[in-house]
Amino acid sequence: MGERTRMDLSQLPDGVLVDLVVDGDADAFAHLARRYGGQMRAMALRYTGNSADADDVVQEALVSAWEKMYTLRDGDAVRAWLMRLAARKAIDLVRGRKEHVELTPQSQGNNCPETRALTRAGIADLEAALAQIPPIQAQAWLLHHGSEMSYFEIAAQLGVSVATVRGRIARARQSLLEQMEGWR
Amino acid sequence: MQRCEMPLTDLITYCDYLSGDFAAEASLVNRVEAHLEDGQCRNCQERIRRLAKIESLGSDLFASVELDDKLLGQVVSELPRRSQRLIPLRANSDQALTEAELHALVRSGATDADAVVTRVSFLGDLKTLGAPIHVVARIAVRFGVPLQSAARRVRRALAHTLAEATDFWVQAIDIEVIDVLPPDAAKME
Repeated sequence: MGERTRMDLSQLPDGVLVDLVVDGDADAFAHLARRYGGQMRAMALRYTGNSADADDVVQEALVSAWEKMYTLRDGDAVRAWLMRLAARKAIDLVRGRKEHVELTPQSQGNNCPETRALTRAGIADLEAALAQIPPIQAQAWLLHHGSEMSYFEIAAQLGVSVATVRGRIARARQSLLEQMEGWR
Repeated sequence: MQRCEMPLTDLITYCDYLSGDFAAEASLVNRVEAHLEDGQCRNCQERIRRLAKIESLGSDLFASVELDDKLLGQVVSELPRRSQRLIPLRANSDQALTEAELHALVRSGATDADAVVTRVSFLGDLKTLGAPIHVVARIAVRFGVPLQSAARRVRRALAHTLAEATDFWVQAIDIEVIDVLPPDAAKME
């Protein structure tokens, strides 16, 4: 299998790696997981609030990805697909843990190493603004703009109507725009 | 900046319409576009621009964390195995590979520095040695490399790999170019 070493998998675009994964290439899958697993974990951490659960979410999402990659029509859209998979797993986990409790994005606080890495001013401002709006609105906004889930996917995942999702996201946008008035 | 009378909710609905997230009533779209197109309302233009920038930050929220190598290794090592169906390779021996191993062998044998074999399909009865097999390989080719010569080279390497490792009766090998890879940085220097 020495020929493969001539091609550096880390240099391959997403669509090519996806094609390799569909053909059963675990090395290509590892490269995709390395490329986007961190973002999946950051998102899972926000929803689950602890590292152990976030790791479980990422692991489950990646195993699903390995098994279902053949269903992905556009390999170049794999990042968004992986984020949606992880978001669904995170929501399922939190829902199972806290029956009848609204899902809320978790503030990670300044002690979390992952949060310390988020130093850019815009992100810090966004974090602060998200913390000021109702959690169900922030959650819907993050699922749509962070995890790239459609209104329909969010509605199905949360068990609410599309109109409810749209309303929550619209109110979140309005609040974020008002709170980040000075941000350019 | 002077405020206008355009409700923010209408601008948000208009942005949903532009991004394809949601349908909007034609009257609303026409009203907002007329309002924006006259070039008078910089306030609304700025609000739309800022909405888009804030939303693009959403994905950046998750962009700065790396996945722990230990977790990654654990995930990869525990991946469910793919297609374990055994494929006989030789007429006069029990030598066999799983379907997944056969695909890996072909990808590996036919990939070189300028073309990567991304997916292989075997059309025909692989379980019966001597049955005619039609192979289709999808490849991605390095930018700047002539596609036809890359396809010819991969076809030859693939035929050679199968001839060396199996007694398959390969009737045809089709090559499908699916993507172009970035130029080789080492060669450009």
